[in-house]
Amino acid sequence: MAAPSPRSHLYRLLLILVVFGAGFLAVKQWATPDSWNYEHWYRGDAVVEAAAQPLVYGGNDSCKTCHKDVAKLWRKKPHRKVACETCHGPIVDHAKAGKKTAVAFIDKTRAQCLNCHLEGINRPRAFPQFSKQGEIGKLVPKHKELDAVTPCAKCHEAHDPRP
Amino acid sequence: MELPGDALLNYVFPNNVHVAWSVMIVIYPYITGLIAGAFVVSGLSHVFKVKEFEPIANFALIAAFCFGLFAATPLLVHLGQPQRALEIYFTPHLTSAMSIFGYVYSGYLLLLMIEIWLIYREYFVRKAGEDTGVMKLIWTVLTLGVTTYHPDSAKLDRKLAVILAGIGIPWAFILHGYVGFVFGSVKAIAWWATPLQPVIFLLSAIVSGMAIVLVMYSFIKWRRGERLDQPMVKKFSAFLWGIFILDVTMELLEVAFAAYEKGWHWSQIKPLLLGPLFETYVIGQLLVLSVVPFVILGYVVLSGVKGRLMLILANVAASFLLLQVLFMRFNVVVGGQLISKSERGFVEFHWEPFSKEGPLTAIVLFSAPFVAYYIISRFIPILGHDDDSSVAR
Repeated sequence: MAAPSPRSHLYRLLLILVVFGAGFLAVKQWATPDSWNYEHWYRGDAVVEAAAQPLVYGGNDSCKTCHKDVAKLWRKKPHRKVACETCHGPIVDHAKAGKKTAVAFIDKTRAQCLNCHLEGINRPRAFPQFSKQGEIGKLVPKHKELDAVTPCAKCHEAHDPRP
Repeated sequence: MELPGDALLNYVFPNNVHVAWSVMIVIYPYITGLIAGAFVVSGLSHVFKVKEFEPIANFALIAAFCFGLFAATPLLVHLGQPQRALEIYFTPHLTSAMSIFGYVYSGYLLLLMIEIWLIYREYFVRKAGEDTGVMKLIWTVLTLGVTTYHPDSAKLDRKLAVILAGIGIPWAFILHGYVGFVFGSVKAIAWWATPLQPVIFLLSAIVSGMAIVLVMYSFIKWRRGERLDQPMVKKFSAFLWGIFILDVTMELLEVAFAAYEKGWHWSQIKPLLLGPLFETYVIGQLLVLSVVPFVILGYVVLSGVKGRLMLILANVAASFLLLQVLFMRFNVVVGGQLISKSERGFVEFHWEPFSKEGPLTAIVLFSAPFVAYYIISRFIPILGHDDDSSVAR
């Protein structure tokens, strides 16, 4: 048998590296989703899949189709930046294909108002802020005689909450 | 306590009370740094021909490999999704430093493996001829079936190993410079965001890697009851001292710039360093763990101290430096997250000693490279007894 070339071990190493590299590329090809968008770095099918999800929240425009009067009032008042479904719940529980299917849920608790109006040092000073139960009278004199549980909505109309 | 942003209250965002990158992310750059540093020691011998380091060049290379095997394990524990760990390799792109890391790290490990293989090939060939049974099979696989050792291939192997070591040095620098890059590029965290960060990480990596090589070398020689190579330790101390001075200079420059500019960065960093990081940064990293080894190594290098005392002093200094770099990693990784995203307060760090990502896990993961080294050293001669002529130098 002829003596092996002094480079034969390197050829074998090279072969292993090539096989390993090719195997890696094959696995990479297999593991990368077909619809992968290399330009913007996301799975293309994800958009289609997300669009096919059933509708839960319809947005303000979907409410306006029936509730034109409320929309008109609400549009001019301080709460115009709050979406209808924030307090009324998702439209999917209330209407389907333009027809009412159930009475809309309304969260009238004080906690619901305090989701935004609880005092916090990160909120702008001019933004109306209130402490939790019991301390509500500190900022607004009219609140002094309030108990800890009466909902804000008892006096304030949520669509136009000004005092 | 002084607070960032002239805040009167310690105001921390409600979703910002937990330090998410904890001990695991502290030891991850620490272990990665040990690889780079240990590799530099072997590179100084193989490429730059520092002849004093010749006896420990292969040892440093194997040590680098052992640390390399476990460098990514803290990340795995931190992410907790082993089945997703490989995905970073499948969708690499140039806009994510983390994604590029997969390639830099695995390429580097491959380079280390090939260099070690070239150096130990003659030994594998010899063992494949001597041993029997399963061991013979293992040795033969390691020789890739080429069981004769051609004198010409010895020359070729040596040349290739030098070339690989030459490529390996900049590659090790990229590997660790990248780790600093990941932190330095987070512009939202004032304590991290500086272009000096990669340089600081790299230099501290070399310091810690060299220090662990010295401590491991001394420990192994002491356990074996062998004499330590004094000229080597002396030269080693000189290199370690020099690189450490560079390292501390960069660390101090970063803070000095922020302090002198007195800008927004300093408004965040000053209360951090004087508050939550006072013990670990000012007292730990700077006053104790930098000044003491600086003085000791200076004495070892500049004075004529010899013998046992020199060896002890060099090792004490190296141990201090190991801690210095560990403290530095902690101060950077955890320290940066202590400034709340509100920039008006500090988050509290909890050690959680026995949690999934706590110090206990860190100790276990950090022991793994030493166990790997012990196992490897049972099979191949690493810190040569001088009769191991079949291992290339």
